[in-house]
Amino acid sequence: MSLTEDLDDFLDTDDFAVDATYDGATVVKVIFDHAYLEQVDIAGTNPVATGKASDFPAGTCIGKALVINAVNYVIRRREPVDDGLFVQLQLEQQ
Amino acid sequence: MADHVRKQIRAAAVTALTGLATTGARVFASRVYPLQDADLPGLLVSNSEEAIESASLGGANRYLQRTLTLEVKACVKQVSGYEDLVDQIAKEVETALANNNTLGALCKYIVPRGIETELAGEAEKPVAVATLRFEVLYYTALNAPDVSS
Repeated sequence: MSLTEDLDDFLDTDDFAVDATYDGATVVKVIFDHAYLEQVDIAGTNPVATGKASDFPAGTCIGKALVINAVNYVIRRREPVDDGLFVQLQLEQQ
Repeated sequence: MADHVRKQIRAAAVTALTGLATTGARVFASRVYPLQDADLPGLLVSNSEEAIESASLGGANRYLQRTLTLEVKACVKQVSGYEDLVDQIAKEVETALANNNTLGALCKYIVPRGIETELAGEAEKPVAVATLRFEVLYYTALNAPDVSS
């Protein structure tokens, strides 16, 4: 018996997910984190967003804009998570 | 008794590097904590290794030849042009130290010996750090490390 997951259940904005605007027009749901990060003597944060892989197509989402909480980011890296249904996006703040 | 000459050299380097066009007053000596956004672009100044050889015979007042490595890190965080900016800072740092080649008679010379650049992209903006290593030659008596000879 196969299991069919509803991926949107993992991206409930009543829990941890937030609405984000992808590529200037499309509203998607992501789980956003920006934990403290220190690199080569410089303090900063590591902004990453986790969303459905289908919302962020491989090969085309790199370099696209993602607006989260009114802050503009650009997607710099797309990393499939586990079975690849979700992706983690490395973001660059603009 | 004055400070060890290596401390005097580090302080003199900070003075020589303060007020440069790109980094301004954001010059930090011996800092062990990471730079914050308000500190950037900035410079980290520290001493690393120092080789010491006897330069004369004698007892407690024999001369020591000391070759100190002074490190200056040029630190940048910005969306674009980060490596260009650390290279610009390197130019300003090298020029400033060349124009203060004895650091007020504390040393015989200070010359660049190497540059290593690190780039990283996991932070909210790219970061770039160039580590400039300078060789600083100075002499002291064995029993007077606080006086440059």
